[in-house]
Amino acid sequence: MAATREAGFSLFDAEERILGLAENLRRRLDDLPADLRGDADQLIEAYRRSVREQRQLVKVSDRLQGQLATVNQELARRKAEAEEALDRLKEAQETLVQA
Amino acid sequence: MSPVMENLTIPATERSPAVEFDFAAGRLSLKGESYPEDASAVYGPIFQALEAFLATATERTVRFDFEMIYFNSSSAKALMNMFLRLDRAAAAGVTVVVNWVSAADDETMREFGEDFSEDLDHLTFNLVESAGAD
Repeated sequence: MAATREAGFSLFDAEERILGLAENLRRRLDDLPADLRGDADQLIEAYRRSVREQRQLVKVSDRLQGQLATVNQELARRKAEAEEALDRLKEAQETLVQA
Repeated sequence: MSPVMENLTIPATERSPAVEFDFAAGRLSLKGESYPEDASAVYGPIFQALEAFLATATERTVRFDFEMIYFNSSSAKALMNMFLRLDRAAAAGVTVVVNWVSAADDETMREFGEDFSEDLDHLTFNLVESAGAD
């Protein structure tokens, strides 16, 4: 997961820490009634799924935003080319008028 | 008195911001565009330096200027992580002033600043127009 983890650093470090805490807490609830343990499992799984979705959404957004930036740069390049061509056209027109 | 850390200076690239961390002066800045291929590779060292600095920066004043032109979602996540860390430092007694600098005609960037500031309770968050900024 290159977009979110590099050499021990994770953009989702806080979320991973919370999941670790939740799993530790869950292990300490083994003596509780099954329905309570089931509820705790559901909450932990829902949070895990939510974090996973966040990661996927960030990845999708990054890809689209990268494409947007590339298109913007291409537009800026073509605008500069068009302005340059227009300047040359004006110069040529001026030369023709004077001739 | 805590030891002074070595400054962190990283030049901007086409896809990543310029970083200027002057730890002795307590002046930090992040400036430019941010849509790197690998956000962790860019923000990992920045966050680790910030973390190390704030861990020793009790009873200090820290000013952090953010002057972003464009950023992607991973970068937004990294920025939010930094704001939360700064807010925690402020809660612990560090005077933290964040200046979110945007061009006068860049309403989108200004709104991002407003959104980021919503969950920060302890630091001072200023929205600044770049025309009047240093």
